[in-house]
Amino acid sequence: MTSPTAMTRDELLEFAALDSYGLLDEYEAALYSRAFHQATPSLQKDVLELQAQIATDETLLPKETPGEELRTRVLRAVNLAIEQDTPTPLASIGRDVAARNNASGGQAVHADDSAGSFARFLSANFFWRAATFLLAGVVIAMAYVLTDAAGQHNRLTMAAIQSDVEQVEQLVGPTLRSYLADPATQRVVFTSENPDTATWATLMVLEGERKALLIAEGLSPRDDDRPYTLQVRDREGRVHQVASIDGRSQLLGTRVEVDLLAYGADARWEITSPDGVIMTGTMI
Amino acid sequence: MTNDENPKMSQQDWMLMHRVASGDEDAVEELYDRFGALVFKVSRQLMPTRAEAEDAVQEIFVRLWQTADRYDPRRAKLVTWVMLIARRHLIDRMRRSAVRPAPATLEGDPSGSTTDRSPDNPPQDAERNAELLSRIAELPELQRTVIERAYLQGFTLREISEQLDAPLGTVKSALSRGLNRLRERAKKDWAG
Repeated sequence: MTSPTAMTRDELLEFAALDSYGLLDEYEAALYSRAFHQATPSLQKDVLELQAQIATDETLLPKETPGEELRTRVLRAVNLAIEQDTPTPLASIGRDVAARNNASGGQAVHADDSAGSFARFLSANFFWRAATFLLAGVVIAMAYVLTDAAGQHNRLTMAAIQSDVEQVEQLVGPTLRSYLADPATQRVVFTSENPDTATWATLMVLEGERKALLIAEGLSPRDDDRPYTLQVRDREGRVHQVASIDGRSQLLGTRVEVDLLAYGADARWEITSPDGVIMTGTMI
Repeated sequence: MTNDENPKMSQQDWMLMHRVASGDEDAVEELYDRFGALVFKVSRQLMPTRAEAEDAVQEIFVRLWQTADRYDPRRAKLVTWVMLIARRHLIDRMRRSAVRPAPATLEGDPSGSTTDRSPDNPPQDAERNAELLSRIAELPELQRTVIERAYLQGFTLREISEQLDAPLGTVKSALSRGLNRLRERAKKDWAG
């Protein structure tokens, strides 16, 4: 199926403005993101300019200013978060260790080094370089992601918080934070179809790469070892199977490849049992 | 000036975020000093109390540290990136909040529309956003309604489309045009 990503200049600028305000939903944000990448450099430049104008526009904002105590408080909070960010062996995967070492040694980054580093950055697929896994961060992250869905994921949040951190690592996998941290990540929230199944899920999609992390609760291991299915039902009712999911634990994370735009804005995402029972699905 | 026109600034911004990502306290301070006031203002606009706005600013800067290694100057200028993360965080906070009014209570009340109608602070809200609300009140009805619900109350466009029983494209266009008109009028007033 062809993705509907072609946009006129005006459409792209309209999307860009709404994106600046954080007002696009996951489908439209994905649509915009892809259209931006397909746009000419000249149009991309106009988009960047428009978004920066909106971001710096204070004409509609209140005139109150923050006090000095807020600066102190914010810096203390960030520094505390940094201190608690204890590296694990997994945390160094793909990370620019040299930069971290430089900073931790209190040394300034030399201009030549930074220029080289910047150039390497520009030529690299930087999204996956940054994958850092911090166990405490995962627990907080889980709480954030799962409470985000209008409180419907409280059970999963509690499960995450109560889990031993090693267990969370084993269940969800080391890439959660990279999805969570990226503002370009689109979130598709599944709600339980009925009280008997009590299955909840969130699909986090890095649209640019069509990579996604599915976090789910309630897909318990089955006696027959048959997998669950992630599928999409388009507006014509056609079902497209996207991935098989092994129900290896009550709380799991699994990586899948998805194309958010391929099935249209009205598509409904579902997770079904091997018997075809819909366990959980998205609201249309 | 675009990033292409000023690659040095683009590189400096990228280096700043690189240093923030690596936990450099000086870089975090620089980031706050550049954007703290702006982030506070947008937080103050969307949060019902000053205390909540300050909590949100703190959370946003922790989030900026968490996301710093993902900043891509080809994709956005740094101020855009910072404000996008801030706005998304604030909208998420609003959506999780129990104080967001039910759609039914919004009808026919353009002048008093605020982000929070909880009984403990409506006067603050009205005062804080008085100028914005007066500008919004001058907009055509659909634009006004859509902006109030999306921009100030955190409803998604799809939710608004359902609430108003209007096509999604109509809602989106109304929002875009309304916001554009607000910006243009505000700029004229400032210039005048």
